Amino acid sequence: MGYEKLADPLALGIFLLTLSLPILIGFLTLRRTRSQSDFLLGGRAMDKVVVALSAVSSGRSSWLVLGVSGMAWTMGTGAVWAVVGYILAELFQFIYIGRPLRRESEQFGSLTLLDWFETRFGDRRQVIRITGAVIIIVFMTAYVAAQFNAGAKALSIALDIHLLSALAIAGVLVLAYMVMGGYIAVAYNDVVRAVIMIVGLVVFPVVGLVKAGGVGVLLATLNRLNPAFIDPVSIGMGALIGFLGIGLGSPGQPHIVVRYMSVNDPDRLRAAAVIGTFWNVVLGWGAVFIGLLGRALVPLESGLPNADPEMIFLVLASDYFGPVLYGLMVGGIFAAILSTVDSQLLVVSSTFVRDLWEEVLHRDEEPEEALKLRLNRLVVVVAGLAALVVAYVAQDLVFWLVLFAWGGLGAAFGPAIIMTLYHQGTRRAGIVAGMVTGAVVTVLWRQFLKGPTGIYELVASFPAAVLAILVGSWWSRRRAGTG
Amino acid sequence: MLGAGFVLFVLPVLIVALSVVLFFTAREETE
Repeated sequence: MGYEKLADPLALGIFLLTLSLPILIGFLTLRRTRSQSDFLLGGRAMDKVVVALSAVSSGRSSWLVLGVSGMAWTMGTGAVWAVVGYILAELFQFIYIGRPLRRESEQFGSLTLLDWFETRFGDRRQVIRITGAVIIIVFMTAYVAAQFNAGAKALSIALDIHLLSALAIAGVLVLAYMVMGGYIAVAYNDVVRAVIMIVGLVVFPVVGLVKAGGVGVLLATLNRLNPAFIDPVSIGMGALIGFLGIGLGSPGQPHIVVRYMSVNDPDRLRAAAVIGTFWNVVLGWGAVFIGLLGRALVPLESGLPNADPEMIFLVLASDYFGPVLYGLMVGGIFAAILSTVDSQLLVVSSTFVRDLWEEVLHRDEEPEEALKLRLNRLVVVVAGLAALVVAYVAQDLVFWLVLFAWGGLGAAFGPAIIMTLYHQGTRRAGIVAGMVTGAVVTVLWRQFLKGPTGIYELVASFPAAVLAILVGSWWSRRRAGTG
Repeated sequence: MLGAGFVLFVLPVLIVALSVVLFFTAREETE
């Protein structure tokens, strides 16, 4: 299945080291985590490099390493558009969303995105908070469970163990360092993983290109196999717009956006944008090159395990690398999966503890800092275990829900954040209407209209949410007699 | 072939260059 080489003790050792390193990092960050603000936001004292790499690697799951390389194998250079959209979106959001959000969230004392919305709109009835919490809990839990499931499936194949044992290992690995170091452990782990992913996605294509005889030979081989492979617009306008539309989801991912709120100085996000974009470009293009090289070296589907193009990364790693690099590369896949799952799990936990328990149920009290910290740690474990159980017992539901997760979160929160920051007439009613519209239109479009129209759900649900915000805000201003 | 060369080698450089341009032009105004 592509993992046979892990039988080599050296490869296995390197692989296990990349898996267990996070726990050491968790232990090292334990002493820095003394309050809820530390646990959820690193005390707003994180370095720009950490924020840049953490924001980038939290956003990239196994979809990048396995999915994009598989896409490039299947469709050729046209797969580039799948990475261009989100890289450009994230470049701008570091500066134009991250910076004002970081500044205002400190001013308001906001620890979560929903804290910020509530204070920004003076929402005493907490409609935004509760609506947003429901959307986050539904989509994020499915997201966490699906990532756990994907990681455990790969782990069970790699180590030849039962799925349940693999889930338990993945769970213990993630929860151990999260409980110790919270956000700080997660962010530093993201940095280590960004480096591991770079090894997989840069060293790999460079060595591969040399072995393939250089770029000219690679493109000529692809052209001989199918001229469409070297025509980046051969995928058609609809697919191209859909690929670029993936980027519309980036500004609304709470686990990415919260990273900007953690930087030690808002203006450092300009430098973070350069570092993050460079890393994003290297990872994205690395994945595309692996797929293209894969096509040239393994031209037929029958050369892939289960005839699955997403296995091309593993096949090439196994064929062309020694045990050390192979172990690192397989570790890179898990690095990608775990760097997403931990940041999402932290958002789920902050939604329960900060958004619902502290700000709704104990709104007029001042719970002790030590109690809040303990509760956050407890909820990380409980929510993590719940996601693991869901990942095992409700796989169909999880995979059905996760289809909508990127789009649903993106359309629910992206337009709401952008309109709050850049459209002065935005009101609370508009934000609530936009969140609900974004989430609902994503689900309905994907379910019923994506097939017949061929249009990617975010391309429809994002503007629908913007429209709902405009209409809801206009209605609210009119009722108040101010618009 | 030209299109492939552009998206594989020029486009990524342009995107990184854009981030550098934004670094210099998007300075925060003093409030």
